[in-house]
Amino acid sequence: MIGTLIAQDFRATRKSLVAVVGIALLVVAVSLTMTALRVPVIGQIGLVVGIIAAVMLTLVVLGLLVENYWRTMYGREGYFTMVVPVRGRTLFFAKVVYGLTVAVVGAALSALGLVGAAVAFALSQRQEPLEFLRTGLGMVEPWMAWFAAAALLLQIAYLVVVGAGIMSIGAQGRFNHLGFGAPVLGAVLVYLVMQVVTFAAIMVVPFGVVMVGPDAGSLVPRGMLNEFIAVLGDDPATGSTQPPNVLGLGFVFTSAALIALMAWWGARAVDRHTSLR
Amino acid sequence: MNTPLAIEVTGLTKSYRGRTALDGLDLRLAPGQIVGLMGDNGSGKTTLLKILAGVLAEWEGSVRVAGHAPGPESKATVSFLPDASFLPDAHRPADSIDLYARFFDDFDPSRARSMVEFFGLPWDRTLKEMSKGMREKLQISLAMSRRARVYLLDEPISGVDPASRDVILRGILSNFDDDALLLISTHLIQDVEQIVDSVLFLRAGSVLLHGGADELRAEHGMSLDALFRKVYTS
Amino acid sequence: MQIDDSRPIWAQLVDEFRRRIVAGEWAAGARVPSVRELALDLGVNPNTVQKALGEIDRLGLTATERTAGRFVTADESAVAGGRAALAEATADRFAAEARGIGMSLAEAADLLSRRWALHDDAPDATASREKPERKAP
Repeated sequence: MIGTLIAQDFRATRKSLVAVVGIALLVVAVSLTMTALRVPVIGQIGLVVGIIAAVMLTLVVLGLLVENYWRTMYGREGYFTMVVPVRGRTLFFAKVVYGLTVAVVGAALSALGLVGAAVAFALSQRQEPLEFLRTGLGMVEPWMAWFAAAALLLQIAYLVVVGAGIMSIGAQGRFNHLGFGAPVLGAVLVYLVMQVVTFAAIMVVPFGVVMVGPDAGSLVPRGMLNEFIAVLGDDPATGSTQPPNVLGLGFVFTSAALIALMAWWGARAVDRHTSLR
Repeated sequence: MNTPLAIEVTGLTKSYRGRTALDGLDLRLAPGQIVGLMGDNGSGKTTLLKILAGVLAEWEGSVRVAGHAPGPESKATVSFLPDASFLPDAHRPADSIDLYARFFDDFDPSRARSMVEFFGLPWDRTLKEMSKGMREKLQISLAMSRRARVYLLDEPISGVDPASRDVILRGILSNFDDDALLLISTHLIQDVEQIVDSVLFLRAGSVLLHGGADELRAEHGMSLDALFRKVYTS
Repeated sequence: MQIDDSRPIWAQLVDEFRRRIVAGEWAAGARVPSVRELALDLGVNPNTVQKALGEIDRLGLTATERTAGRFVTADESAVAGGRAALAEATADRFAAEARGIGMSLAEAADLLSRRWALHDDAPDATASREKPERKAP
């Protein structure tokens, strides 16, 4: 049944996704072409527009996923979804799996768009694009690239799972008189709380990565707290201020914990607290 | 013969933010009959149907539909027709039939197609382009084409012109499986007078009256419609 | 058939089915339409039809053979008995109302023979008995 559910989501969103992605890619292509062809003024604007459109692609795709989730689970189409003979948690996980797949594809397309922007920029500066890319990649440590990719995937998982969880929790009987406002409030609340929690985790959790120096890229059991205090309490008399050379990675644990919590709580909300209006 | 009850409800209570919609409701309905569920606004009809269908949670008491508490097992054999439109606007009749066939093992697509023909619905029009009566007819075709043990129809003929009401009731009657329970909620009692086996009058979240249609007619010497008016103005 | 919602419907169906049998609409020895067909035709609940048919069985006007189905009795006397019962009920109603407004038997008989001709288009039971396939207009 999970396969049928996911296929149905695809069927329902296929047209909109194709339209949105198509338009975004078109905008990216056209604006970057202007850049590459060194068209005066429009070319520079084109670069900015191209980059923005590439990034927006993922954001709009996520927006579409949110709309589809809310409409099919708690809008009037919810009356079909919720009588399908499956457990609530199965519905939740099917939608999350679909959302993750679509979001990852969207992010990949966005990344491609940004690479395209780099190429267009190179061409506009009369540089050889492949050389340009190689040089650029050379400036980045390999560990940073993996780190960035992992962080991006974590962020996508976070947005999809936590988003779905917040929507389903907000749709419970005791909140649903607020309509979509409930998940919006929930999202704001989660954001504020996570800002605090993430900061604390980066500072305190003994898990970080060395950023500069000979062992850059190695993982160390240190949070950023000492560095932070050192920066704050730096005595100008003792010498130059050292930038922190360890990046606290505690946020990975807290993000993963929230993802797990929202997955459990969201599935439970659909299972036991579905209250269609 | 001891057939298991199609619906068995004991002490069902449901409140919405302080307001009680169902108040310790008890109900036992055997299969093989058409039951009219009647009551004024706020009587709890729709709340009851939603709970039986498994789309409304957080209630107290005991509910068993087709032998199960509301959940995947009951949903596999309960056909729920809600009040409003629940299909995507862009669907044409064939798309909705395909949708039902995909998700419900007990769905009979050929029966659905015959009902669409019977109702004279256009195959090439989307739901958005159809009138309310046509949308209702399509939804009824889908709901009645499931070979379910319990059918829950929430106001299937309200907001539909009188001529269509007749046709819809005919469609319902002709596709009713004799061993099933059909629970129809409506405020248009006159229209369903002749097709119900028994009636359930709800008021303020509990059962006011429950009895066989003919028995009530004999006992009170009036139609169910007249009885309803009498009972609800007292 | 006009159904009166204020009285038990099954009883009205019994009257209607009985009328169809004695009028020859449901010919002697012919098969009775199925419960479902009748229910749809009349726009009533199948269980109500079932109950009425059960009563017609009990009155001896029909009989159900387990595999073959339900048939109108070929027994002429049973049908005649049914006709007599219905006719009596009709006559009783007329007599009670006519006497109630102060009519004499002679006046009533005279009235009846004058009004009889006006119902030429009603199903003629005599003709039907000779031609069982003829349907009522």
